[in-house]
Amino acid sequence: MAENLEPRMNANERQYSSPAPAERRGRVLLTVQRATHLIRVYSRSFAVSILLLLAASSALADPAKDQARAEALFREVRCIQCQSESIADSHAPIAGDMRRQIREDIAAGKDDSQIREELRARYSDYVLFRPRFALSNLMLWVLPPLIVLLGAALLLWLSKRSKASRSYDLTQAETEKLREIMKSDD
Amino acid sequence: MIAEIGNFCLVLAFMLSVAQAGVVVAGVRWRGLERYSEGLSLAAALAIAGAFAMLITAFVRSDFSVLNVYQHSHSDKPLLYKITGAWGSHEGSMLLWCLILLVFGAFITLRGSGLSDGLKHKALGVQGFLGAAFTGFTLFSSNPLWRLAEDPNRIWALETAPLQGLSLNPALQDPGLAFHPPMLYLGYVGFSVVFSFAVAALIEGRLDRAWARWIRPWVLIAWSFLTAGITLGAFWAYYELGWGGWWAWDPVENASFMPWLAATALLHSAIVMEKRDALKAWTVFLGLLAFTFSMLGAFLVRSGLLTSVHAFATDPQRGILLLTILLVTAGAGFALFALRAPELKPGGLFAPVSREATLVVNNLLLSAALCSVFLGTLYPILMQAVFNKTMSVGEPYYLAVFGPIMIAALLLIPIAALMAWKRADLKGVLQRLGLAFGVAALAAAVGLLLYRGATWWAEAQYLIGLLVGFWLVFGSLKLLWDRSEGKLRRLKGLPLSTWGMLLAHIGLGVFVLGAVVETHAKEGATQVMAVGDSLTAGRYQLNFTETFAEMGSNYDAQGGVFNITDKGKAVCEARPQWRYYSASRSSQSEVWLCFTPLSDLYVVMAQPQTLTDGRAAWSVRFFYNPWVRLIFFGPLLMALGGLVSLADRRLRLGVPVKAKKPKPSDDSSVDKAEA
Repeated sequence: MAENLEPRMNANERQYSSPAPAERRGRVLLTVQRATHLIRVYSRSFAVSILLLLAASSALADPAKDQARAEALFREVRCIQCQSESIADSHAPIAGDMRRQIREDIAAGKDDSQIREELRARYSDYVLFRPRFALSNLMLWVLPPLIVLLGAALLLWLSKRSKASRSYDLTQAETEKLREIMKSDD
Repeated sequence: MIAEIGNFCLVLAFMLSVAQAGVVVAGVRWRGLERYSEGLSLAAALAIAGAFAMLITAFVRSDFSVLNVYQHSHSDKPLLYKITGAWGSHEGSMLLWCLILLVFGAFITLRGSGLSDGLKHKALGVQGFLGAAFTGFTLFSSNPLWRLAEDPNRIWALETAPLQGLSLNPALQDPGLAFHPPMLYLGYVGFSVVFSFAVAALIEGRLDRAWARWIRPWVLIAWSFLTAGITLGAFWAYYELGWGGWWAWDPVENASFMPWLAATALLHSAIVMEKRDALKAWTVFLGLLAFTFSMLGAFLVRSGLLTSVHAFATDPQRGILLLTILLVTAGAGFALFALRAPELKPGGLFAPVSREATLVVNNLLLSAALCSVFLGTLYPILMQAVFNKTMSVGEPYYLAVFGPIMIAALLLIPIAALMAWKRADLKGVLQRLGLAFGVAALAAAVGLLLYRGATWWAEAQYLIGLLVGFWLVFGSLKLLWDRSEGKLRRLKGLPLSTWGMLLAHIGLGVFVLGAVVETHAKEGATQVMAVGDSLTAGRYQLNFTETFAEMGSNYDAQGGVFNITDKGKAVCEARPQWRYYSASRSSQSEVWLCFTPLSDLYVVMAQPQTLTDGRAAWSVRFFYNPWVRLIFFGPLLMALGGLVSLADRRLRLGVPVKAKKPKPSDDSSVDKAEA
């Protein structure tokens, strides 16, 4: 048991403290053991209480938070019969139906990604104003940041190179040539 | 007779444009011939002006024997909308495009006295080619001056002229939209001159500071008009379409935004080229790109590929013709660029920390932002065409990808403006800006205290947005303070180009503030309401008190009277309408705005219906849009900044012919202030 625990001891302590007597080391180990046990027990009860809280919060959902979630989702969902309008903006009856459906889904405790996925299953990708982060859409999401990164790398490289090329030291060949010219002048 | 005179003028303009391009090409073999391109460009501009005048005359006189007038006008329409109806359709707006293209071509001749003959004539040749392509397209496939009997589709091929027209889409009968297309086209087509000069310079193989100085007024004119045109369009969408927003990342809006982004990058890289003789290839590339995106916009809007509120419904054949023009001109331009760019000698060197370097980074960020808008606009079309899959790209995508890139670009602006050319002291610049940043952070923090976001993420976005906006405003003011050394007297000595830059940057900050506050702190509610009902949005309450009816010149309106109260205190009376245009058998809601200097109360009623108890009711939307005015005021400041910069004497002088000679005293003080 003691050998098992030893590697968990603080590396710094081992390195810098003076060699301790055996019983002192045992006490330290005991404290560590007790502490890990306590943490384990408390974390378990902590997790349980979090779960309880979550359960309570889904039962007694905060209406303001639900409203905010619903409105954020409305902006992401396209009114399928309108011309590039989100259901947040549209007057159309179908938009009203879709808004109601999303409100019901939120009240039923579904999370945002679940709601998006269900909408997508029913109406296809067309309904989502935020394209999925999928392989077919990779270029859409990755290319603009990639341009910034590659461009920045290119600029750094160019500035390094120009700095190098601007050094006034002569190269080996140039020195040789210079020496020859000097010689021929003599 | 009017239509025939117009048609004759259009044919003449086409022939003259062909000749204009022709003499320049022939000039390679027979020297001296290319000189005639100058006179031809003037004649072509006069001819197209005649054609356009005839179209307007036909609209004003409601000559329904002309197909385009029959389809888009009505004798009941107010005179203003009869005139603006001339560019309210695909065909008419193409003619407007040609008019601006050829008139700008004439201006190359009129304002080109300081140019070398070779460059001027080659530019006129390219402009002539563009003119021939677009007038040819208008003449043969989209002619607004066709008589009914000449309709190529034989749909309207009536023997006798009808007594009444089909009228213009009521949403377009609005002063905002009346002037939105001309502004926008002045922007789009203004870049054609830059394109022509880029191609001419590539053929000549000579690109220098004089070239950059010569194109800069054109870039500034086009950019300013494009900015104003987009703003006008956004304002029109805001108060005419009745959805409470002003920008939807609609593909057609993006089509106008892409050339703007390219032009903004061009504007800045042209400054570097003019001052420091650096970034030559890149500036030319952007010069080609700006007009390419203008043409792409025209193609997208007119091809029928997009479904949008703004798109013209057109047949695919025209789309293919436009795509051909786009591919041939842009393809030739970029091919030439690829051939000649390696021969361009790199110009002035600069350190990694310098004004040039920050402008390069600005260009990089703008290009990445442009790429995201380009992808977002074209990806759904490509997916549909290649994989037959439908998808959508909308606001959330742009906020996630375009947003952060633009924030970085905006944060850089005040720093770039304070940097010295060649080699700058970053630490010193940051120290000088410390106070401005502090004030901006303080203002943003105060703004955050007044705002209750739904989530911490919304609050964080709000804070960052306010910080960026205030940073732009205060950082620019700091520059003004430094240049004037705190003395009012010295402000007069600042060059106009500096004032222009300051106005544009402050305008951008003002826009950001408006956009952030409007987006986050907006309150709104929608409800089906009958007389007596009330609706609440934030602290404002809307009470439906009565209805009224009104007869307009070409519509019947039902309206509602709504009292708006702020915590019980009466604020204003709103009278929105629901209009029925019998001529076009269509309806249109008329928004009512309770105007205050900064914010709007926005009421719109739509879709009349009958409740189960028999009462008449309307679907009413009510918004409180805080700081929304800044969204339109900011870009107008930017456009004004562009025009102020244009008035700078050094730009009006064009090419610096005698730069070596000592300058008059007033100029030297200007130069010192600039340095």
